Amino acid sequence: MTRGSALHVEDLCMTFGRGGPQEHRVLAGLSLRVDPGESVCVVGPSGAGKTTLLRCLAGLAPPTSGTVRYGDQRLTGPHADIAVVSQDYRGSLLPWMRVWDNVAFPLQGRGVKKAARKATALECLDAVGLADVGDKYPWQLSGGMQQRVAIARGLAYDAPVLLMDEPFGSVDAQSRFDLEDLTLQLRRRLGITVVVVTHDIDESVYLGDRVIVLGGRPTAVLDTLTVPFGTDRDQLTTRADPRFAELRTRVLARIRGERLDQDAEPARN
Amino acid sequence: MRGLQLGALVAVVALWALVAGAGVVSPTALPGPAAVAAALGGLLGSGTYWQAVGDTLDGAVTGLAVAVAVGIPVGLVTGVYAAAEESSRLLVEILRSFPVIALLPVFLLVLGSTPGMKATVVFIACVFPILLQSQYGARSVTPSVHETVRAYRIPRLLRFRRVVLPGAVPSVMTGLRLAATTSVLVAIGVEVLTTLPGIGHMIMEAQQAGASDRAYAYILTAGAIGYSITLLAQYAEHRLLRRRPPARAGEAA
Repeated sequence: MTRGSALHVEDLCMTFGRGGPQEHRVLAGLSLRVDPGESVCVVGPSGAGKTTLLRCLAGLAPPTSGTVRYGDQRLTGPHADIAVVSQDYRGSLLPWMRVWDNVAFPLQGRGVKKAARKATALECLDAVGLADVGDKYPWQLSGGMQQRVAIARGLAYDAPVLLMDEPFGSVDAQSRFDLEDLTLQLRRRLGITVVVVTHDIDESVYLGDRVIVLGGRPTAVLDTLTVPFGTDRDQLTTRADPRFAELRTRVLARIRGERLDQDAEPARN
Repeated sequence: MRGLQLGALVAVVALWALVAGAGVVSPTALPGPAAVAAALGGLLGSGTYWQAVGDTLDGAVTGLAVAVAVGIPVGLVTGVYAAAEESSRLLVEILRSFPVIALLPVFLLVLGSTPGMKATVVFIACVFPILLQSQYGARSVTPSVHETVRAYRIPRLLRFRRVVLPGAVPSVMTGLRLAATTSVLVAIGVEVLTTLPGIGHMIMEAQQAGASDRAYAYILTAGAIGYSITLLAQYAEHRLLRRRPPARAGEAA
């Protein structure tokens, strides 16, 4: 029931302002793999280049060196199989389009007729629990609802791979739990591949089949953890599982450890 | 608020009547409001008056329409593509710095004293505010929106029609409002300076005939047209932007 192909990242390097005085090496030879149908969380401290990694996966930023492949294709730009939900939901929804129109917009780009477009959009809105707001404008909705609209747009694009950049970073705690469960449920039902970039350790363990821990300067993969909870999870029991605590401690230690090493360095010299 | 505004208007008219009535200035230089109103009343029933208004509007609207047809697409395209904007910037800056009325003798020489010449001068005066505001509007599309549009592989034409153009609307409307007022102003200016028919020409003619009340009646007409355009533009802006988030609509107003 899984669809699409695997994403392969090989020796990905990203340097901003190359050759200039502000040269900043963000990613140093990152390699990772995301299998079809898998849910992978990328977690790391802010400034670790998580967003940069996601933009490379989306084909939105060309890496300085290294490759991103989707199946056997090398990504050189945005791909029809890859949908992106950005951190800035407020900025990514178009204020002059009704909610359904926003969701259907990528389909218009594919030449789908209006009636068919609208039907799909309403279905996708229904799937994210927004059955009756199609005719509203995005700015009339709460932050959590707007992020649901952005997710519905990703679904309407009907891509096997959904990339999410800090998707729930700026919604309230309750909406955050709901959106996490929505993501799990969509993934279970549709068999899509989900990659979530987050700085929230608990969220990464709750959502991921695997958690990839980034850290260091420039950023490298510090650790990869397998999460043993399967596809059926819920906020109460999963988070109460002793293994959940073990995993989050390990992720935190990985991130902290790296930081402590760096802090200790000047003292040693 | 409305009462205060009307009060200010009444006060100015009263002051006008007072100055004219006191005989400080000669009645030929400044006739009283009553005399001007009477002259205007007489003109409203005459064919020549409406002919003059029609001639002025014809030149203004033709020039403005061409300025819109050229200014908006060129502004949007150059606004979206940084290279196009940069390469055209100096040229646009120089061109728009020319006082259009000073170029009038050149146009007279090249195009002759024709209604087409009037429309051309109006076009040149109007195209730059529209072009620059469209450019500005196209640039106001946020990086976040651009990235989304790219990620979802929206084709270029669709992007212009549904993302860049609507995003630029508040700014384009500002340019349009400026240009609309300018269009009537320049059309009348050209008529004053040439022999082309229209309100400007009638002002000159009335003044030379010593009928200053009639001249002021035409001047008031020009003011009324300008004010109507402002109202019309405000209405159009309100209609176009009523579906925007309140903050945006407020910014544009």
